[in-house]
Amino acid sequence: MKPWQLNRRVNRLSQEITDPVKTETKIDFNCLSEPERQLLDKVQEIIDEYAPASPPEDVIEKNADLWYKGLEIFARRATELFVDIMPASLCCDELEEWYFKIYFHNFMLDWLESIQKLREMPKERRDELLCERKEMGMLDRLFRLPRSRPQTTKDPERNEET
Amino acid sequence: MNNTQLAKRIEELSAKLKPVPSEGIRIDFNSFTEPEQLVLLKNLELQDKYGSRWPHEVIVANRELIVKANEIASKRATELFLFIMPRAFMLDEVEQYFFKMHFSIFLESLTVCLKNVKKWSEKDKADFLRDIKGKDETDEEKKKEKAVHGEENNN
Repeated sequence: MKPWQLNRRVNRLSQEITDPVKTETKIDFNCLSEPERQLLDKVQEIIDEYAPASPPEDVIEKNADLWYKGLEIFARRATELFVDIMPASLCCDELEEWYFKIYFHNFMLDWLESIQKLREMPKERRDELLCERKEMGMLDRLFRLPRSRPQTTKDPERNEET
Repeated sequence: MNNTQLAKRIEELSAKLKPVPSEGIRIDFNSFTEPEQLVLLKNLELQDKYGSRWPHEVIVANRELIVKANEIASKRATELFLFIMPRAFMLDEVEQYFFKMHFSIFLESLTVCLKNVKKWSEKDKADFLRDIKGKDETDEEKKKEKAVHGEENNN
């Protein structure tokens, strides 16, 4: 089958399975370990107790450890899922998977570094930055930052573009 | 509660959560729409039938199903990651902007990289992999040496 034929068949299938009902993506709760589930159940209990409103500040403060740990579990598991599924879905071989991990690791480092810098920034400078981005209509727009390309091979001539 | 107390309590919770091994993580099957579920079930059916060795003709006959299932899985995993991370890190508007920007750069750079790697010959790939593995092994040996010499634990 030629690529264009495959594309056509995949597109046809996409049209067939398009569902107007949007569903939220959730982690399978059964995959979490027993202690993780217990912790998240406790957090849910607190949320349910005050629903539909949010739990009061003092309750959140008192249970801050549960709150932060719960958020950490979700972040860790979502990352695990992403790193697990993406290379497999892209049918990466061993080398491609290696590059995937390197790029993902660098993305996380770059992003965390930028968050750290933003959080160290004085409030006025931060508000200024937000205003500036909003005025320029940039908050909903993304662009490619020019940056040096990483050396991905010992032989630059062989894989010049990588 | 001050930061030190909070960090201590979180550490205690981490210690309680640590010893339990994880069997991997999955997306809740009910998250998928019904047509998506049908595509995934068809793939699972083939997986059950052929295990890890799918005959060539089966792959060719079901190519669009395989590609679509991969697309569904990657789209959902990305969606979940993009939904959870800004909330888990309690990002405000500016921080979310930077998160999206870095993620978009990551995806774009990765796509360019994988496109180029696919052009490599099998021999080049094998040579490069051997180099990486060789380097990893050397690093491991150096680490062991350091540990013996007490460089890592300040002995």
